[in-house]
Amino acid sequence: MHIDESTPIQLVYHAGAPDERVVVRFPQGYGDVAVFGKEDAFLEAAMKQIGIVIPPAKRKGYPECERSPVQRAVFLKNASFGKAFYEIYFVENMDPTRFSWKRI
Amino acid sequence: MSELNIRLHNIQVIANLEVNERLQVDKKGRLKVATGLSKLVGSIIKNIPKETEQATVDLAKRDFEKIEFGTDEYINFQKRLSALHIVSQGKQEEIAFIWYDRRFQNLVESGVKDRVAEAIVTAEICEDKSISEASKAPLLPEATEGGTSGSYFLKNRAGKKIGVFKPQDEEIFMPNNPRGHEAKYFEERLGPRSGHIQGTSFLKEIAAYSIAKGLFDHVPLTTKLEIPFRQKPNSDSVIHKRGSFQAFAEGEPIEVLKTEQIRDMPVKEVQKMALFDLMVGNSDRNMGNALYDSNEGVLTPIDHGLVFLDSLDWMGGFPISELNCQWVVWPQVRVPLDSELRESFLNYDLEKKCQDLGALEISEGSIREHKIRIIFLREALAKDLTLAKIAQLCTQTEEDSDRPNFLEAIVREVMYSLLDEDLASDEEEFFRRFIEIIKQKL
Repeated sequence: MHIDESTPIQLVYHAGAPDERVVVRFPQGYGDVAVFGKEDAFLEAAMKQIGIVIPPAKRKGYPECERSPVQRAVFLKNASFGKAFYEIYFVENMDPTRFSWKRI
Repeated sequence: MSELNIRLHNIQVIANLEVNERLQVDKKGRLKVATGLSKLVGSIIKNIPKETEQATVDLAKRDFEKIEFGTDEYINFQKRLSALHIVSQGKQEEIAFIWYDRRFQNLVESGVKDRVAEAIVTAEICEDKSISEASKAPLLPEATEGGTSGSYFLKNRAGKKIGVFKPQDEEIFMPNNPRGHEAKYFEERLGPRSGHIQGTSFLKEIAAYSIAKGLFDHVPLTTKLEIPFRQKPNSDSVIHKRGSFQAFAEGEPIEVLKTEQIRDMPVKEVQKMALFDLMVGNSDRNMGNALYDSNEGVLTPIDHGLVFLDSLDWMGGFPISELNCQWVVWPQVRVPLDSELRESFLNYDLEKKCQDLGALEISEGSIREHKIRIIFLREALAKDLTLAKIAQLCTQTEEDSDRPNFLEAIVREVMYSLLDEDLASDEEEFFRRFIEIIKQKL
């Protein structure tokens, strides 16, 4: 499935199972606004408060970190949050056997 | 020695065999107690003539048959004969399996929990190259899903997964990383976090376990291992990889829990993990790195490859690791610290633990940072700050993303003051000033 920044997608837990739930939606693609599900309120709060730490070697792709030598994380309010969530947070932290990206 | 005497000698040796002892056979078919597992395996495989091997088994069987079926003596001899079988007929894998079973049983009988015993025995097998060679088929690792580093499930003799092995050379930005994050060279900016050097995550895992051991005992057994890997499937070519092994723990990752389920987790369990993360400077406590067993109400922190710094740069750069813990937004850390946890922490023997870390080859920078964090925590808890508040003081948050966090700023301030007075290498003076400023500013 080809996904780019403008592909409307959502992250689904246990797709197809009775306990399926949508964790986060990017209705306009991950280059745009994120909408978290109410069952993942703490994940949303964490993304807002402490964000996603970008590994030093990858900070070039994130303008917020490039602009400031001090900023190491991308936060929910930042423009590149969706990109960080899709390309870094999901890849580094989430179990792909339980969570998967689906087109909306 | 006549055949009869050999038989009597063998029976005597078998009868006196202790559970932990193993047998060897000399060229005349006489048994003796082995002194070491490696020696045993080597001598069995290489030195026992086939005819002697068979004769020994025959001798034992003949005597064994004289014993009445079903009696205690029969059962005892059956057990003891299995030891003889190890020596005389066992293939390499059988040797490892039988030893594995006996060692496992011994541990369980001595009060060790099953899953811990499994992990210990597997670890021991893996640390003995001759045995791990022998058991390479059952220990052939199975790659885990997801993540940025190579990690593999280790299974026990029944095929059940008992833990995860993470080889050093497959960590993120290491040469053999299998997830598309390989790097052929070392460079400071290639660490997984600022101040973390490539290829040190496996040591961090072991260091974190060392900190928790005897304090909270909530981190699963973690140990350094070297295990055999087939270079390609079905290949006889085996290489040994060094890395960390962490035993499995029960529970579901927090990331699958709903908001209410997270809210309902026991306060003490959450605080235990949070306090631990503050002690080790965890840069990666995301919701996949903690398991919750809702039946037991137990929270188990896992995956500690991103704790501490590798070097504390006294001349600039990042002076302290980037704490990043998602529990900071949970309600359990916004209430006062549990009194038992507080007491355990206050009794923490920092000097002893730092010595332990040194023995584990943890870098001086990591040890220094650990001291900074413990001193900071002591002062912060003395002011009755909650764990959430303490975490905010040493985390980059949305509000202060354009400047160093509170703790980082203080470390920098002390470092610069030392530099100004040409005292940059005076660690004692650093801590004296650090404590003084912390007391003032908290």
